[in-house]
Parts: sequence; structure tokens; C-alpha cells
Amino acid sequence: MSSLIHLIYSSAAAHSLQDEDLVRLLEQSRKNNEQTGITGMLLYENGSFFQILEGPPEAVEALYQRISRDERHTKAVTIIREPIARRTFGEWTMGFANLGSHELDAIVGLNDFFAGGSSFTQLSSGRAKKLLTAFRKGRWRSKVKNRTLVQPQDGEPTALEQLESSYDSRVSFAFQPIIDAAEKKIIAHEAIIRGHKNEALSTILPILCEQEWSRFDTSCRITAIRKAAHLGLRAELHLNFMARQVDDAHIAIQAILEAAEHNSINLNRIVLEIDQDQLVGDSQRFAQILEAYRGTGLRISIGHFGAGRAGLKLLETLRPEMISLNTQLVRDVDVNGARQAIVRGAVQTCDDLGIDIIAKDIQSDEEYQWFVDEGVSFFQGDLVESIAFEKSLNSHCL
Amino acid sequence: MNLVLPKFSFAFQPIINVEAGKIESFEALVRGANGESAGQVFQQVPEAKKYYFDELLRTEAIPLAMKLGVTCHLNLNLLPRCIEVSKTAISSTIEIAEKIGFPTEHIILEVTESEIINDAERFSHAVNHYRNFGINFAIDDFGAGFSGLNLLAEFQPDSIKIDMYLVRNIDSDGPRQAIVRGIIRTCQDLGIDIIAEGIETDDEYQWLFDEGIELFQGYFFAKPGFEHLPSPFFPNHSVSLGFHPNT
Ligand SMILES: Cc1cc2nc3c(=O)[nH]c(=O)nc-3n(C[C@H](O)[C@H](O)[C@H](O)COP(=O)(O)O)c2cc1C
Repeated sequence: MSSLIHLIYSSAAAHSLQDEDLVRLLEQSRKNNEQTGITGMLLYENGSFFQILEGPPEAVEALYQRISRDERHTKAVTIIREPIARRTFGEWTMGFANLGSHELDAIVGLNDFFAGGSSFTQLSSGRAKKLLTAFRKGRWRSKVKNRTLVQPQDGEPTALEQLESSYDSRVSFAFQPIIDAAEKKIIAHEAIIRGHKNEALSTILPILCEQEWSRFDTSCRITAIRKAAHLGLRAELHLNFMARQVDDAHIAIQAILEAAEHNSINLNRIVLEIDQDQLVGDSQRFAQILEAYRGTGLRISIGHFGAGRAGLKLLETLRPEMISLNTQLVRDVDVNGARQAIVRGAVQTCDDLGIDIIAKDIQSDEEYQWFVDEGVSFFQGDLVESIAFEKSLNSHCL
Repeated sequence: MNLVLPKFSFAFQPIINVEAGKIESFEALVRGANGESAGQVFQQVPEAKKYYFDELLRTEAIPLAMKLGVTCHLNLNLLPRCIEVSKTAISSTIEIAEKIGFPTEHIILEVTESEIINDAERFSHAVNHYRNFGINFAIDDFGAGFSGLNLLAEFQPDSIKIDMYLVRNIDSDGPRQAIVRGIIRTCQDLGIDIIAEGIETDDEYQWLFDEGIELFQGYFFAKPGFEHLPSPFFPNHSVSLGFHPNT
């Protein structure tokens, strides 16, 4: 696996740049980037730069070091630096957009600004696109100073035989859809453990000891992947990750990788939903373990955000691609000011970091509408399917 | 068993309002009798006396603050478990203040985020009663624990103190900026004051100020003064934004 990362930063131009300056900068960049295998996008608007650099870690690091020292700009703020599965800007040695304010209003995209005529809407919907969108909305404009980069952690996964699913006879899965209310479509299914007769998990399992639990947890995901493949589910697959011990994570993830491959499910369709409260151990260490798999396309979601230990700090340590809001925050949100304020804060933070928000377990039309008005469009739960689909979902998508 | 408590005193560190150019409050920080660190003092406190000691600190800090001439607010620390262990955890603080004539509405009790997270609702019930006496509550180290925003669903303090880990290098750290912007958004919506603590550099200060934060504490402004009230450095603002919907 040849590793790739992207590094996204913003900065402020040291002085107002003329078109010729930008052209010179761009020519220089394209020439260098071609040689070092760097692709990406550079936006310039009204004194603010926003750049996405993607490529092999060493090359990106080295370039960023060089760029940080460039006197044409200051106040570089590292927004994100993380492994990626594939390039978003594969064809651009350095795409460029100089955004005038009226163009910023054109929601459709940056079409005209891309060299080569490709369009913004064609970009795959990863973090890079979300952050670009955030920049277009006026976020990440000109902040202060450089910082040194954290070295990547490499942890070599040990190969492992697939755990046989010894609990197979007792468990089954319900696949609950996660919908995008704006697009009116199912974007994913969460595999929820059930007994064979659809009983809740707690009723079918004897209390498991720690070791057994990890085995059980792992075997469940293997079964879930197999069943999802068997059912021919085509959307993303959300799997609960309930490992008790941080150090079991390697084994558990390795098993997922194998099961996915075995069932021909692409890893970029799999999202691991982490239940922080189940996890014993250091979340920093857990983040390091996950890091080693980020490049595979596997994505992370923080479950029950807002409950127990799943809070703000985790957004920094685990850098999830999405979070799902805890039921407590969702319930009666339309009439509860404190919950509204909290959700707005979370939406603000997640928008800035390119993290998707899923509102789970909606129980009323009012709750649903409140979230829609706040710009949250991913939902999960029995009722929401009927609400969202009933209202405006036409036959073309189901 | 040796249950003797260590001798102690206090250092005071100002919390300033940079917009108004004045000291908003002093936080009383426990020290040894000769200025030893808080850690050294707590080390000598027997486990069995931990909560008694916590209560004692508050009742001792108020008279000293008064003697040193504190006329603004006074921030005192409170271990939330203390409320469960001792019935007088907060009432003794009020009693002393009333006795010596220190206004109770000038008292702010600080509770660490990670300590109340387990039972925020219960804590909220237990302390709300004291709000009638004018006592204010602050959540300390906000954002350091795992809970953060959600805690505010159960308990809305008068102010929060953004933890130092979020403040450190915030001027160049994107994720921290995003998190703090979220906190600001939530607190503004809930009318909770935000104090940025642990400020060490001008860049950190400037970023937070630009985001609308007005209350600050940290070495950059003033180090804690042992048994005296240090005068803080006030950054001057040539550009005043002059827009304060809340005032
Ligand atoms: C906002 C900004 C973005 C830049 N992006 C790149 C880039 O993508 N690739 C690159 O080689 N140089 C880039 N540079 C220029 C580098 O800082 C540096 O000047 C250049 O790599 C030196 O190239 P040379 O060795 O060919 O002179 C950028 C500079 C600025 C101010």
C-alpha cells in the first residue's frame, strides 16, 4: 500500500498579489509538483490562500515546510493533515481558483476557475471537498503563523487469520438506513445486532467476559459484512465498533479488512462507528492505531456524540469523518434551547472540520424539521424514514 | 494515622476584561505556607480529609482576599464530590462571606469539567439552590474532558473557562480553532461567559480576541501573586470594534 496524505492549510498573502504574481507562483508550483508527485488545489481570494496538497507523506511534508517559509504569505494555519485512500485532485498538479466575490455566490461551483475545465461538483465528496466548501463560505480566512507537523505514526498491522464466527447461530442483523434528506436517498445502512427473531442484543447474550467480548465483537462485524454483501446492500455500511480494549483494535480492524475483501466490499464503503464509552484505554493510542488504516479508505464515525466521553476533544484526537448525535441531544430539540445551542455549536465545529453530522432516532416531525433548518441532512431512525420519504421522496429513488 | 493538614496560603491571579480594561475577578490558588505549589500541598492532604480540606480552603481564601482588598469577583475552586460528602460544602462559604461582609454575589465557584460529567444533573440540582444566594458557577477546564458541550445540556453555568490545551497555539491549529468556535457559538446562544485561561502568547490572545472573547487569564497578563494582588498587563486596542449587543 503506497501511502498518501493530504494536508490542507490556509494563510494570508503578505501583500496583495497581482495576476502576474499568481501566475508565476502557479507555474513554479506546477513544475515542481509534477516532479514530486504532488497534486491539489490552490484558492486565492481577497488576500487569503487556501491550499490542498496531496501526495506521498514525505513529499507533502517537505513541500509544506518550504511553503511555510515562503515570504509571499504568512499566518499559515494547518487545518488537517491525514492519510487518504486516493487523490481528489489526481489530474491537477495544482489546480487554481482566484475567487471574486460574485463567483463565490455561485453555489454550483468553481467550474470556470479550474484549469482543464473540470468542475467542483465532480470532485469526490471527501473531506477535501467539504473543506473547500467551508472556505467558499468564508471560513478559514487569514489566521496566524506556522506550526511544525506531527510525524505520522506507523503501526504495521500483523496478519491475522479470520476469526470464525462462533456466535453466528445466535445473532443476526437489522440493517437500518441512514438517509440524506436533502438528496432524498439512502446513503448508508447501519448494521444493528439482533437475535434471530429480531430481539435486542441484551436479551440474547449471556454476560461475556472481557476476552469473549472482543471475540464476539469482531465476529459480529464479520457476520454483518457477509450479510450485507449477501443482501446486496449497495450504500455505505456502518459497523459498530465496541471493542473493549484499545489494544484489540488492530486485530479487530484487520478482521474487517479481510472480511470486506472476502466479500468484495470496497473499504471506502465501510464506516466504523466508535462507541467511546465502551473503549477502555487511551484514545490517543487508539487514534494512532486507526491512523495506520486511514489510507485504506476505511472511515470513522463517533457514535453517541454528546454522551459520556464522546465530546469535543475526540474530534481532535480521532478526526472522524462523521459523528452521530446522541439521542439525548436530538430528543425535543425543537423546544429545548440548551440542546439547540449545543447542536449549533457542534454543527459549527463540524462544518469547519469537514465532518458530517447524523441525527439519530428522530421521533417527531418537529425534531426533524429543526435539524433540516440547521443544515443537518443526514438522519437515521424508524420515524425519519417515513417522515423524510413520505413528504418529498418521489418514486424515482426507492 | 497522621491526619494533620498542611499549612497553606493563597496566590491570586487576575481574570481581566480586555474590552473594559479592568480586572473582572481574582482566582484564589492554593499554595504552601511558603509559596509551595498546589500539587505539593495536596500531596500532604490525607485522602480521608480531602473534602474537608476543600471546604476549608474556600473559607480561608475569602478573608485573605478581603484583607488584600479584592473588591471585584473572587473565583474559588470546588470539588463537586464535596457537596455529597459535606452538607456545609457551600453554605460554609456563604456564611463566612456574610460574616465578614464579602458580597456573596461576587463569589464564583469553579468546578472542573471532568469531575461533574458523571452526574451533571445531580450536580445541577445540588447547586442551583445556592444560586438564590447570588453564588455564581463556572466550569473549569472546559473542553479538556471528553464531555464539553453536552455538559451544558444539564447544567448551564454562569461562565466557562476554555481549557489551556485548546488555547495552546490556537493561532495556528485548525482543529482547535474549529472546536473553540463551536464552544463560542453554543455559549453565546446560552448566555454563558467565556474565559480563555492559560494564555501565554500574544498570538494566542489575539486569535481569541478576534473571535470575540473578552475575558482572559494567564501568564501573558499576570502570573499568580503569592499573598498579593498582581497588576495585569492590559493589551491596548487601537481598533475598538465598539459593537456589543449584550451591553
Ligand atoms: C500560497 C503558496 C502556495 C504554494 N504552493 C506551492 C506548490 O504547490 N508547489 C511548489 O513547489 N511550491 C509552492 N509554493 C512556492 C514555494 O513556497 C517555494 O517558493 C517553491 O517551491 C520554491 O521552488 P523553486 O525551488 O523551484 O524556486 C507556494 C507558495 C505559496 C505562497
